[in-house]
Amino acid sequence: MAPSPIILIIDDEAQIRRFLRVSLEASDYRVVEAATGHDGIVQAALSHPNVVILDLGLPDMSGNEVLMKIREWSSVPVLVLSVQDGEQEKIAALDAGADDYVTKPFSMGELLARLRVATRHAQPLADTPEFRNGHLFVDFVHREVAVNAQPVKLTAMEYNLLLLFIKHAGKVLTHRQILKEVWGPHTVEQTQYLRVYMAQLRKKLEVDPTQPQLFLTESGVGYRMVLLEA
Amino acid sequence: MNDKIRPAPEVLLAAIQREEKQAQRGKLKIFFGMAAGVGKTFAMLQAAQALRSRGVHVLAGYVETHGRAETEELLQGLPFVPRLKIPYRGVELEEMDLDAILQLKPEYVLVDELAHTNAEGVRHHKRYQDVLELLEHGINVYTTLNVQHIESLVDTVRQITGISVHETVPDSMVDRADEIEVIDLPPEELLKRLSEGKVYTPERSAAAIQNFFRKGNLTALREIVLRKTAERVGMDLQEYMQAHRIEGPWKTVERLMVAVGASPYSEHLIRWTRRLAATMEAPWVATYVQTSHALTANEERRLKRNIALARELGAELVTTVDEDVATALIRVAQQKNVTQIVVGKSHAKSFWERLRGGSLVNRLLGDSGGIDVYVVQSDAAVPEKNKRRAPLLQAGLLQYLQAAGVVIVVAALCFLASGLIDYRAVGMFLLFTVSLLALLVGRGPIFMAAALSASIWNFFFIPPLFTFHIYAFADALLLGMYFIIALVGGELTARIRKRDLGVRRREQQAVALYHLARELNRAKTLDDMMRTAEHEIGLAFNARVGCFLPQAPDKSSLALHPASTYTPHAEKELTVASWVYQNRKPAGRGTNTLLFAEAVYYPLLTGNGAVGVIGIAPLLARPLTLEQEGLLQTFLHQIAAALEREMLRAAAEQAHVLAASERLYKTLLNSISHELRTPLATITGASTSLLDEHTAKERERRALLVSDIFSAGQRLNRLVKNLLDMTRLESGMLKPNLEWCDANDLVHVVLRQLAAELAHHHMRLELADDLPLVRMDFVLMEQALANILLNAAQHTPTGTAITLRTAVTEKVLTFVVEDEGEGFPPEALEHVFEKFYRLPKAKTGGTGLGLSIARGFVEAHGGAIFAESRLEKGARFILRLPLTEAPRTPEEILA
Repeated sequence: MAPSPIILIIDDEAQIRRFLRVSLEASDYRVVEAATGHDGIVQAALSHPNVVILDLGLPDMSGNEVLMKIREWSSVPVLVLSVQDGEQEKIAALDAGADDYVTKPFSMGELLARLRVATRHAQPLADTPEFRNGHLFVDFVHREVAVNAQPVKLTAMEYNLLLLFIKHAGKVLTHRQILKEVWGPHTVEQTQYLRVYMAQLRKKLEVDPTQPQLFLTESGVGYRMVLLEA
Repeated sequence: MNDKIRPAPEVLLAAIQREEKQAQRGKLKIFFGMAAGVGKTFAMLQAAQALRSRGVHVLAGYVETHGRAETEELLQGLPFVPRLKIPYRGVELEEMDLDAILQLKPEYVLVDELAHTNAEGVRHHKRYQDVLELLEHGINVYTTLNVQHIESLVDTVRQITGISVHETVPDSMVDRADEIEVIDLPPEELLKRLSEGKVYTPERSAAAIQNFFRKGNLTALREIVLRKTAERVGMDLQEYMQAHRIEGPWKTVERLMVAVGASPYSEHLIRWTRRLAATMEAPWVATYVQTSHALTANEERRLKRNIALARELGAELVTTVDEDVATALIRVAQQKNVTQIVVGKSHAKSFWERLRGGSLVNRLLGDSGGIDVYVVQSDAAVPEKNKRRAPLLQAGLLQYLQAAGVVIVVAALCFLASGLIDYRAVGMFLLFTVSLLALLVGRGPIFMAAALSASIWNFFFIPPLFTFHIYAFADALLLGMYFIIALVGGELTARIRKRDLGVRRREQQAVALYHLARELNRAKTLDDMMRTAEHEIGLAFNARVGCFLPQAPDKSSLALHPASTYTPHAEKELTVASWVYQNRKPAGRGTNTLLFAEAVYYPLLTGNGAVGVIGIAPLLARPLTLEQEGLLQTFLHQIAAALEREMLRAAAEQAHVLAASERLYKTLLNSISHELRTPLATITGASTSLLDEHTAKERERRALLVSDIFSAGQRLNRLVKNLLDMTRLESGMLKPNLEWCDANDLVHVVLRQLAAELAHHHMRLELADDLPLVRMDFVLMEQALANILLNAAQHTPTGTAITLRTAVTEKVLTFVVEDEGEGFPPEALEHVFEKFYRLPKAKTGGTGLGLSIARGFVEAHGGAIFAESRLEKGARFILRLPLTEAPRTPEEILA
């Protein structure tokens, strides 16, 4: 049995750290705590965490600074904790290399789901020829897509977009990240492209496009392909 | 009866206000004497030493000892201000250093010789103005004054002593003195002191005794001093009696009026009236009647001086326009409830005056009805230098030449045609010509044209030709009549024209004033107002205009308004403006104060003080005429009133905002404390129960308590979110981040967000297919729509349906939310979007903020939100977003 993953919590609130530690340890994680950004950076180097949970509102330095310091030498998955209405803050963190975010107050189930995605990402991706997520099936070799076993035709652009979501399945992608990856760096402000393609992708790949289950809008931030139960 | 001894409220009020004002202002004490040498300065210094020995801060501002040893002795130990040295035509003049005194702020300052005239280059023209400024700054002043320097007594003194006094102090100065101490010395004593050399040096003493200090003079002056003082004591007594409700022999209300003109006699009349008014304790009016008669520069100057004198002596000024002076005077007298009119003796000389019914005096006497008329003998001592200029010289030479040319040409034409027309008809032609000319040229040229044409007619046309002889008696009669008709016609036309010019000028002024008033009314902001004021004044007075407004926050310093067309070159101009602002008196070029300035500065005065200063730099170096000055005063008044109105409005608005935010704050506290406490109580209660082992053991109870804690947490979270949103809205910092968004996606996100809250309602969606992309702030609109749906879910019974519809037209994106609840009571409709408004029977658990936030967010997009009761049942919310840019379909974007 592999050793349980180590989670580094960087948060100045002792109460938050305590309840996270209790809940995470109950879910078989090991927990390391840091109360300041500075201490957090040190711990990130010393304790080799599998995931870092980083609060963006720290007393000694901004969360983004901590994030950038860590990113200088580590690609450890970082999950940021953000306040409500902090869209700009979230986007900044995600664009600076955070892997995902959770908005306070959050439910433990939500946090655990994000952690699962993050730790999975951290594992080297086995080069599989196909991808399955709920009703969606993709055959990379033949570039074939099927919804509920019915083949669906995607344009090249739609397929590229889908591939990007699959590569980051379960993880949020900012508008900027998607635009840059699919259309190139000069289009990052053209969110209308994205709106149109997302609407089309949903029409083709969602069971009920009026109630999307697969591609969720993270308002003000971006989109996320949810990992559905098989 | 009590009524009788109760003083009129305005009398009491005036006394109170005067007392209050005087409390802030410095007190003025005048050491008053009949002549130099009675010991005024000595007495003043004695009083100062007495103050100093009590530890009072006394400063010798300016003391003139005239080298008298006993006086100089008294100066010992008194701190003094070094005198200003002013170079003047090679000599150095010494003046009081006003600014140094103001800076030192002593409790008392000694200022000798109140009537002194300052050297050029000093701020004020007269020393009494310095004293006034000291008093304004709360500094008490001791000063000295001789009786012959009092403005209204100048005439009397001259009549007695034969000496004209030029350095005068207005009576108002004496009236406002808080204390007057008469330094009385019997004439014999004074003469003795004089001969002992205690007043002047022996040589000067001898000359002085010869001229001024004759015993008769001194006795008369002494009497005037004592009478003046007694008069004042009488007035003080009456005021005291009124203020303390002592019944006394009240006088009937008398009101005097004096006619002011450009005549040199006017000055005498004004002084005379002032004296009479003072003894009668009656208010007095000075009236100037403006006629079409043009004033020479000299007359204009004298008129201004006379008017200024009347103002200085305390008259209420009235200017009116009329061709008939007598009618105008009577009209003003009736309007102002005047009981007595004072006019000078004049002699009806002109033909016209006789036609109208005699001299001004005669007509006044005839028409004045119940008003008494005083006819005052003009002072023979005033030489009559200023005769009216002959009308002949008033018009330009060019007009004479033109008139003569026209007459000659017409005569020549008639002469050529003399074979065809009768010589009598020629007379008619010439008469016609002269009448026409009267429309174009002035009185003088017409007079000349009438004479010339009469001579030509006689010489060239009336037989015998080429002589001035006339055969027929009828012809002589004709010629005579011709001459008179030409003269009268010309004169009348010229008069009409002149009056017409006057009317036109007044009309122009009225238009300018109307224009100003209208533009000021239209101006929406202070800046607009200033621009208007500067523009209109510049236009009406052909000047560059600078406007100075007090600067926030303490309003003590002035700043030039950027719209000003006049920009002072030097710092000193701003100093002048500041002085005007602080002292509320005009100053600068052409005034008595700070005359070195480039422009003249006027305070913008309102009932509450000065609201700004206007500086006027005329483009032409001509002083304003009396008429213009009047217009300017009206302008300034209008501007000041408009400014004050604007300032009051701003203040009221601020007060309103403050009151509103205070109300909000209270409601917030009430609402929030309740909203915060309820979930906190739940969490505390439920979690303490869970700590209890017995309760925690039972699985179902535990689950129930935990879910209570969870929903309390959510409720708190919702409350905090609402408060934050409200704060963002209230801060005014909310700026929608517009992006192309998919309206259907918005709906999905909202529905997912509210999945739990809407779980017990039947959601019906009627979404338009293929909604185009619209530009909006996704997060804000999500919140707005969510708040409306949440509101519907919270206020309708479970199991009922909620319908959400979307629609897009070219210009508007509409969301409609309908529920099947109770709908709104009619009176609630207009309040549902107000902060903290909750329906009377609403379920607990809401903050009353959700809809208000929704409206705020939608309005931040330029959209609108409405609520109505549905005809069927329930409520309907309509949310409209304007689409500033045409919606873009996917095809359009991809194309």
